[in-house]
Amino acid sequence: MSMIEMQRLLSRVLTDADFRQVFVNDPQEACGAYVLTSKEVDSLKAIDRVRMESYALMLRDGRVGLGLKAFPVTSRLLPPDFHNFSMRYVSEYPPVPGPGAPMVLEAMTLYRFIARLVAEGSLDVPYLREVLEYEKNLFLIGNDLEVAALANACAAANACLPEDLTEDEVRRLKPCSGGHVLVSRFGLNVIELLSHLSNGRKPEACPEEETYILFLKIPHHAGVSISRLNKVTANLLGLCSGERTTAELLAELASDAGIASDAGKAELAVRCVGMLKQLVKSNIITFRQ
Amino acid sequence: MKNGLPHLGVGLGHRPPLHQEIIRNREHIDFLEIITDQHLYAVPEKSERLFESLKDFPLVPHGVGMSVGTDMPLDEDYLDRTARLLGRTESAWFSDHLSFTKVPDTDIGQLTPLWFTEEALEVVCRNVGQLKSKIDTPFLLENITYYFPLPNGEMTEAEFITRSLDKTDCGLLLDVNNLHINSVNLGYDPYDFLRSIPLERVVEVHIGGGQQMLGMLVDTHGASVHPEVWEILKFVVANSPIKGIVLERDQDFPDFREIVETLKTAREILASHS
Repeated sequence: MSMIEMQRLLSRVLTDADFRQVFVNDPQEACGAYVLTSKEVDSLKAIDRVRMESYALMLRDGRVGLGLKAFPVTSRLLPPDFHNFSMRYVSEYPPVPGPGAPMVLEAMTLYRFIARLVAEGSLDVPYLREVLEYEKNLFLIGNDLEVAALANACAAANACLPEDLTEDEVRRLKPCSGGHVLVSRFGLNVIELLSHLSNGRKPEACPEEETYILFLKIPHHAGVSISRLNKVTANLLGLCSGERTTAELLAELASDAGIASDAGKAELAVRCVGMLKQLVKSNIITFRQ
Repeated sequence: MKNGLPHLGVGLGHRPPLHQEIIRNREHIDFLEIITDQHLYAVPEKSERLFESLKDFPLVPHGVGMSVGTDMPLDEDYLDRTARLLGRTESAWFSDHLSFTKVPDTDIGQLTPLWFTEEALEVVCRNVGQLKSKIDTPFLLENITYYFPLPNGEMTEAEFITRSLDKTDCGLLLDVNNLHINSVNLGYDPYDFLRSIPLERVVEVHIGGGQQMLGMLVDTHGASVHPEVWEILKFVVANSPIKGIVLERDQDFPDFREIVETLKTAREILASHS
């Protein structure tokens, strides 16, 4: 019984352009790698090649179309000849089965591909890198099951924390962010940019402006919270790995800022502890023992 | 198998871009078909929000990822998640396709034809048996569009469908647009096909539109229902007491009034033989 072998070969012919060419040029050679009956080989050899090629093209375009659904503004920025990259996409990222929602899997794969095209200079479109990154973060945080579970877990952990922690208590705890939070740094005001692009307007020039955007999966809710952070908060959040106590973080921050006086350190502590408690209240971080 | 199934009427495939119009036009839509795979791995709160907003509609899940035709056991996790979804939606039936979409090393991502052989029939029966051992909700198999047959099979598609339904005791989700497209692309009489399959097993019918591209008629779900598809529907309805008709529209969405008119036409056809 070799039906699975026949299905494996057919699947590869349909999704792998190089292998399909081998199959078209020399089907016997292509079939040689699989354990097939002579009837199965004869059937495969007799497939309508033109229709098979058309179907393969539909599959390829279908993958790209599915992935782009996650990035609507990015899609509008892509050049009209972006489809020329489709063959490279399916070749470099063959469709391997995996657990998870098909659209999420394809979107993340397509993101990696487009990001690589931008990085290597093959796609040189103004604002594409920023818009893609923004939309990827928004989509991932809003649609990944694991992210949703982490958000709920953070909220559950915070519900167990005492209501009003003192500064001393916070100093002993380890602030911990999680996979339900993404902070990205952009070189321009990406929120304003997206507002223009979403309304069909392309800004002439977007001035450089360091912008930190927080993407937060709201616990037990379908939505994603997006907010602009200042650099200080973004840096503090970046230190919340769950491995160091607040006291240790404060020592590092004071050292980095050149704060040596007790009064200075005390003021820093008040500010930072206040910020950390606010981050806990927003379920952006939790405190670990 | 059809005994005891409710008559749902005329419904629409739920698609996110149509959501608000669906809510606004509640009185024109009897039930909704949701895509199973969009909910199996979805953030629970997202699905729940959707189901809550659609609580006035009976929901019928329609999947694309079961791959009953793949010669390997069904994915148990996929089955478990499908069972949970059905528990939530309390659907009268659910469906997927008589095709394969994946093998261990490749996810084709689209419905791909089976080779109509005894071995393939055995595989389908085994896999549907596995499905039924986990899920009590009645299951329908749908005929697919395919642009190239696998030559030199051991039986016709009609015989394969007939024997699959008979051996698994499943209902048929007859996609009359798929039938029309196949009859055009592969050159056969759709009515000969209809006379060769057990129409008494048809529970639900899909209608939709295709478009010419790549030298053939393609099942895009992006166009109006072709006149010939309406005629095929009339034949089916005249010969089988079906429980539901669903319009599938996935892209190039028209003004929603056109969709409402299409549902009205389908309802008139259904009523003419009820």
